[in-house]
Amino acid sequence: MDCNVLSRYSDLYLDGELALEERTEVEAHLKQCSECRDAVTAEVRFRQRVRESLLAARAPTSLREQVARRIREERGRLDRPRFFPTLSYAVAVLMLAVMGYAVIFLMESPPDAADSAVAAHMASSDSEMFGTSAQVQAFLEGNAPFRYQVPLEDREGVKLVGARVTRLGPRPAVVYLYDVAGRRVSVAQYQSAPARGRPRLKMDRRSGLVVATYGDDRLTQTVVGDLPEPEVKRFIPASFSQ
Amino acid sequence: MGLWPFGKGRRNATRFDREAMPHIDAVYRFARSLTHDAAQADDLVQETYLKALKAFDSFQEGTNCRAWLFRICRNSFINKVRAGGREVALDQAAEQVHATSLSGWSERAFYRGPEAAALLSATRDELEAALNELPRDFRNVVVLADVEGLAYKEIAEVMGTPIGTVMSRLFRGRRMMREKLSGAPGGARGVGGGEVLSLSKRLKDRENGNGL
Repeated sequence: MDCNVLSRYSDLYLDGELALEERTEVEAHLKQCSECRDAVTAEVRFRQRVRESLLAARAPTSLREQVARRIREERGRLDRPRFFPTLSYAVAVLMLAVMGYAVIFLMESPPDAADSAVAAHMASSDSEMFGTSAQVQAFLEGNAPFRYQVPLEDREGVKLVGARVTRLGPRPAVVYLYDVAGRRVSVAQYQSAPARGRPRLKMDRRSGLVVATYGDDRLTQTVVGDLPEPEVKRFIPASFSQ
Repeated sequence: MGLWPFGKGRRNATRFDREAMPHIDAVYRFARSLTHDAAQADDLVQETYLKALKAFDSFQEGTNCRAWLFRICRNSFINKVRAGGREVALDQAAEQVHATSLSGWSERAFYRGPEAAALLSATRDELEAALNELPRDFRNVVVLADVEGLAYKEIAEVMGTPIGTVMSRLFRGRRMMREKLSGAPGGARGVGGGEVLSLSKRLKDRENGNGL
């Protein structure tokens, strides 16, 4: 392990999130490198200062008293005898039954790929690769679960910077990560479901993000990004834009 | 549901006082971090404790009560924000998108020499200010990790985000805070492009006991 690697592991090391093996490696390096040792010591001291300083913020006495009072009141209410326990139970059982049906109903409705695409955009996930367009494609050659097709070639202000192989609900998918003038745009690509009169282009907003879904018989793409709509449209082939 | 059998109620009451109440300072600090506002934080702490009282049956003894309270606190806050009609704003979504790019974790480097000295000489007010200036999701994660001492996994549960997101927000948040305090854009030593960072996979392996 060299200093460069160590500095990248320092957070994990100090947070106690390294496995024993890695920890031993870090400590072996620290033993022989005074520069890194000093840096780690300084970081530990800084963290102690942060912790001590910020732990000094305490709940005000008025708040403590208010919480204590409201808890007393709530307990008084809860402890009062109930006249119709049987009725309460009956209502509970009925509600559970209704909820059960609702859940089964929801589970049977088809999963919404666009929702999953938003989740995939927001979550970091299993196996991913950051690099140049060529490196990303080489990664996909070996890892893509289907015949993928890079949705948009690099051009001015649009750069493919990574890809991730994942699942959207039940479907295997490739998520492409683009850098668009410093902002991140994800394009989730998956094999199209058998056409059921699905619109060829659907624009939507979810959680403040523009979501566009387009596709043909073979592949469907869902574009997610915190960009204005015209910017997102750059990702959609002209044939779909009309 | 309020179906509270008597004997158990009394026993639960002592348990609640013993296990949940000592964390009121921590819950208050977290509420401040969430709301950024003293009055709102007061309301949120009260709501958290009332909800915790009603749901105390579902708290599993032996697990981290503080993390459980934080989770209730965060959920209450989210519900409040939604009920107030203030949908998750665009900037916050952008923040999230920004945060979830994993590349940030590898850029972190040490602060050495004069920068390290600047960090160590920061006053309490400066530390507080630097923390308060972080975007909310970053601030929350830094508070949970560096002030309250929660593990990544616990933070992920409190915040309802994947562990990779926690790490990326934590590392970036720390870096932003340090850059602010040292007055220098910190030693982002960047890694050569093309490095495969299957970080969450490594964590998963670790959770399965295969070592990172």
